Amino acid sequence: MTRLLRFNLNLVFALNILLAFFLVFESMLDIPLLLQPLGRLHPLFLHVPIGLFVLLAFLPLLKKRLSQEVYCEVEYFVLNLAALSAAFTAIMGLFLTQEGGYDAALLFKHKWLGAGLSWGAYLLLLIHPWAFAKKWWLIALYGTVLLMMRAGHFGGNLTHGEDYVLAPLRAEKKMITASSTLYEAAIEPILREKCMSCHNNKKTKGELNMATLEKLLKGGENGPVFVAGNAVESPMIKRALLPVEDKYHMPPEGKPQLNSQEISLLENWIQSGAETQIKLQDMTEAHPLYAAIVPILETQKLEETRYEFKPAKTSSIQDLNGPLRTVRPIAIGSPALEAAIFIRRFYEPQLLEELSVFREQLVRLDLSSLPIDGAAMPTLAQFKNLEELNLNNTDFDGSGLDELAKCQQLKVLSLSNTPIQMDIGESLAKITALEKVHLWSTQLSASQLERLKTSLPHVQIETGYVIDTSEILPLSPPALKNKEDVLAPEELIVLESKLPGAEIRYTIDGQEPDSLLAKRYEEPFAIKGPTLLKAKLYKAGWQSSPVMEELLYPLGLKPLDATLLSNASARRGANGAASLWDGIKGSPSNFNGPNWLGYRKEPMIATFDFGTQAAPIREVVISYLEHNPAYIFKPERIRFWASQDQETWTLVKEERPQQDDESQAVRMQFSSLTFEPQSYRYYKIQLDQVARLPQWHRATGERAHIFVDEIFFY
Amino acid sequence: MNEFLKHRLNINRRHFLGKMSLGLGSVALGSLLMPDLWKGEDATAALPLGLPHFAPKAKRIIYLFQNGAPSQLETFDYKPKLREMHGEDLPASIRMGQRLTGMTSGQERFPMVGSKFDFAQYGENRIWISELFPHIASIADELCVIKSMHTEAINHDPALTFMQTGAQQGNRPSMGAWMSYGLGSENKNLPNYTVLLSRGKGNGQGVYSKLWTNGFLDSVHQGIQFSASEEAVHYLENPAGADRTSRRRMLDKLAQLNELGYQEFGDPEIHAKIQQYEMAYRMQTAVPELTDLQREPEHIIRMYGSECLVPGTYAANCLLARKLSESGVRFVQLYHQGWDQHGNLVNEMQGQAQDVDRPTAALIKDLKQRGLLDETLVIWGGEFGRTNFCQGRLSKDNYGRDHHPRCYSIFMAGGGIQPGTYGETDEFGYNIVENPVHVNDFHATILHLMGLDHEKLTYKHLGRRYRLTDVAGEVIKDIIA
Repeated sequence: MTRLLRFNLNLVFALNILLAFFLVFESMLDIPLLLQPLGRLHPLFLHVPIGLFVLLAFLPLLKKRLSQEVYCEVEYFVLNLAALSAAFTAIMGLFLTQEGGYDAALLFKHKWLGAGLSWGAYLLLLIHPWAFAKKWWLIALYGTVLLMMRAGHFGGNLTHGEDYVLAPLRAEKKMITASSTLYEAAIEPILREKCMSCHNNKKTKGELNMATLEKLLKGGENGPVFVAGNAVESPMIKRALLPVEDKYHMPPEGKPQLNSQEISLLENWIQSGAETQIKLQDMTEAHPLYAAIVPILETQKLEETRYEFKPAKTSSIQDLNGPLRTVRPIAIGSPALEAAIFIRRFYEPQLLEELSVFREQLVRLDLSSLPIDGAAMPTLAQFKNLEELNLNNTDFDGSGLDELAKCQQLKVLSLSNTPIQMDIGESLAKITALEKVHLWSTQLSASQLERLKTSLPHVQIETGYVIDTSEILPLSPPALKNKEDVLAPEELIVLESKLPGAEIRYTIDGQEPDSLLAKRYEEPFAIKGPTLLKAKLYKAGWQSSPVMEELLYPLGLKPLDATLLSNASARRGANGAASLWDGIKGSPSNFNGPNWLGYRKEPMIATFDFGTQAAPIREVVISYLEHNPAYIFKPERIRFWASQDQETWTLVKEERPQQDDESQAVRMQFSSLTFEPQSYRYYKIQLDQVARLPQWHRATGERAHIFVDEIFFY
Repeated sequence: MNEFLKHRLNINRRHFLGKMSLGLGSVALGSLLMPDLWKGEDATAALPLGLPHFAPKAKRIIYLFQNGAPSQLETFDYKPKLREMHGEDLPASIRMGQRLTGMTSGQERFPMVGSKFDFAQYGENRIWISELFPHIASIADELCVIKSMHTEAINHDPALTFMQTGAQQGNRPSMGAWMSYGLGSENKNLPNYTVLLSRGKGNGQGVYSKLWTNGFLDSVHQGIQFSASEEAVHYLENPAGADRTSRRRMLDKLAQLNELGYQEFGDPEIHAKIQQYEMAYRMQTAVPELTDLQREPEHIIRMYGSECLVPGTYAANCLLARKLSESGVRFVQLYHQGWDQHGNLVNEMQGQAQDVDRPTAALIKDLKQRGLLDETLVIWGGEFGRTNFCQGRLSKDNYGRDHHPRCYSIFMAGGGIQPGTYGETDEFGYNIVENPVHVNDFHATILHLMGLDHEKLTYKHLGRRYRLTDVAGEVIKDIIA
């Protein structure tokens, strides 16, 4: 054993001398091919001295457990091995440097520290028997260990790059946005991941550096790495396609390989001309690489990663949300916020000012329809990342617009329906990112807008559609606001058109309302008795409306009771006699409704009791339906009697309504019987059907129906 | 058991706990590197609600539903071949056994009919549009016409329900409810989802509140119907004699009582109810501001036509839809009834077209000039198509068309849509030959435009997760700008 150690001491000495010799005459060194693999084992073998030096550092922990003699021997033994392996490693490293391609400054440090370590270890070995018990021994030992760590550090930097260890923490991936170039978004990431560990600023294997686009284009020792437009002849593709075992295959065996997708992307990129400047946003489907970038765009999640600012606190977002104001992230996980304020009546400037806690994060702001004017502009100018601002329907007149120049990201500005009158071209020009301005329905003149468009050629200015005022459009008829056809006592007729400046003309005598003679509607009016109201809307520049027609009845005197003396048709009984004086009209579209009493086989006979205190009656109105195709005709004869005792009846009036000609229409009709005022307690009405339908009817000769919904007494 | 093993197992409590803590400690340390280990569910299963999954192209939708199914052959799907072969029988090789409704199954012949209305191409994309829609044609550059929609149902109610809820049976949440559930509210003073009804003079089909149901979602997501009457939202006004302060006090007390009920029973619908009362209270302010159409300037009225001032018309609903959407209502659903032309098609379609042509175009223009079209998706279309053969008597001037689920046309505008024409039918207008779009695909695409992944927007009900697209649907990327 002792002999072995002595032999080793000599071997280490020899190796260190050899090392020194190589270092001195390094420039003349020519490594024979046989020894090259030895150099390449350096990265493997270097772990042996590292392990041994670490062991040396921990050995003193055993000091108290072992006798001094034993301990001394163990330490000497380990030191022997460490010094030997250090010397070997250093020499192998020196061989490796001859292959070249390393960052010179780093290599210089690593080389000399490595050699220094080897010599230092030999020195320690040499003095160990003598210095072992000295107080400074440990200091010397640990100094050597530190030297080893330092040398190892630079070595690691050489092969893995300087920030290899901390890179995941610093990961400042380039933000890929729609305005990134195809190269940045699709090509560079592949190169960075698979090629740049050997072809970077520090380590330029084959004199090729891919760290920047310019350097990549420059190529390496064998010239350019690709030929734009010719993938087959491009070394980069050629080498990638060689078998992995091939000497010229890239990336080298053992390193992370390009997958087939990455190769085909590089290949297509080169084949299509290796465009470096085209931006993703400018790429259309026609572009040969479009299909390839779609998945990249998706995985990169363009929109979400596009903002560099920090997200706001969730609690502060929650605090500012309420019925009058909404603040929300634009998507899950996005730091960007959008906000809107609502309800004009309740607006206070504070609602806007409080948003300034999000001066970084706010990208969209909707203030439309609020009483906002130029005074709010300084507040808005704080939002430096604002992209879209909606000021439609506000009171903003353009003053203070200059402030928005501070919103360097503002792309879309909506100013439609505002009282802007002043020239805003200069102010808009200062908003550098501006892409679109909506200026429909402002006070700006046509020439002002034209000037704006010429002075801001890069901005899309939306001025809205030009309405063709020469086109004569039809008006819609005025609306009758009364809810029921039967008017309550004192209820007035109310007509309405929501079109400003339109004129309502009406008649109550059945005439067509024209624009000259018919009465102009100014205010609600009263009617006496049943009235056929016809109204039309007129306005200059418009075609007059169709006629609005409605039959209206004032509510009459109410009987105390009524009795039906004949039987209604099956299922046409409505609510019995009460249906006749409940003040509810039937609908012309539903004869089955509860308001229609229908008779076919029997005439309709009803009596009405007005009590002893009855007021005099001078008119009776019977409201009925006419729909000839359904056999529903006007009554043939109407008779009206009066009585005090229901025994003796006096015929007051008899009438035969004029039957209309052939008609398909469903119409609400009425008959009015007027007479000298009568003061009786009881009245009786009888309606007789048309017994034979007229010649023109398809069921000529058959019996007609009558349908009655209401009887009014005035 | 041998003594040795006994001895090995015989560790005392202290040792056991000591070992245990060491073991747990290393498990805990290891789990730090596996953040998903303790989540229990895979990361894709549930995403926070009320926010888009990714930045959306569109923030709001206005769906102009043409109820009854307008004929594609008279509107957007131009088929000159049908005019050439007018009156000839539909070849069986084209019909390929397509089922018939009970209305035409008794017919002996299926004579093909060419459109009575002429077509022309409009805009940069040369979109074919019939003479029925001159105003819509004037905004052709905004439109993406999909000519290859197809559905599974052949009758109105199931087809309509399918279109609105993604299922034919009518127990699922409708599109608007899903949007409300997935995207949350923009303006808390208005419902997320509103419904407006109108009726043309053509043969009509009913619409029912099941079409705007929340289904199994919370009832806060159901569609709120705005009516044509003076009071746009029923029961919104305070009753006579009650003022806003007393209403507020009443609601506060009511909420306390409801909260007690919730604590006792834990039914989430009680909370939904409280929220609905609050919403109604806020709507008392917001709704009158909206429904006041009188503040619209005359040039707007000219755009939509004077009918827009008559509540309950399609034109008025289009104008109201713009105002609702402008105020942040996510989903405005219109239904215009009267498009079911089994007979008298020529006359009825003219009437229906007159109702919708001008207001539809006006709505799109109006959104555009306010800068809202970029963020609002407008959809126009029915529930299925109509047959290329005549139903009933084919006369010189008139004809009818039956239901046809195999192809129909709809259009979309704004909100991230790529204008143009998508999909193609055969020269008979009967089968799709290129780029079919199933209703599930349509839903997936719309959700995508709104920033939602249709596979991730789910709700667990009766033991399984439901989606608007159920188990199908592909986003049609080609129509997205």
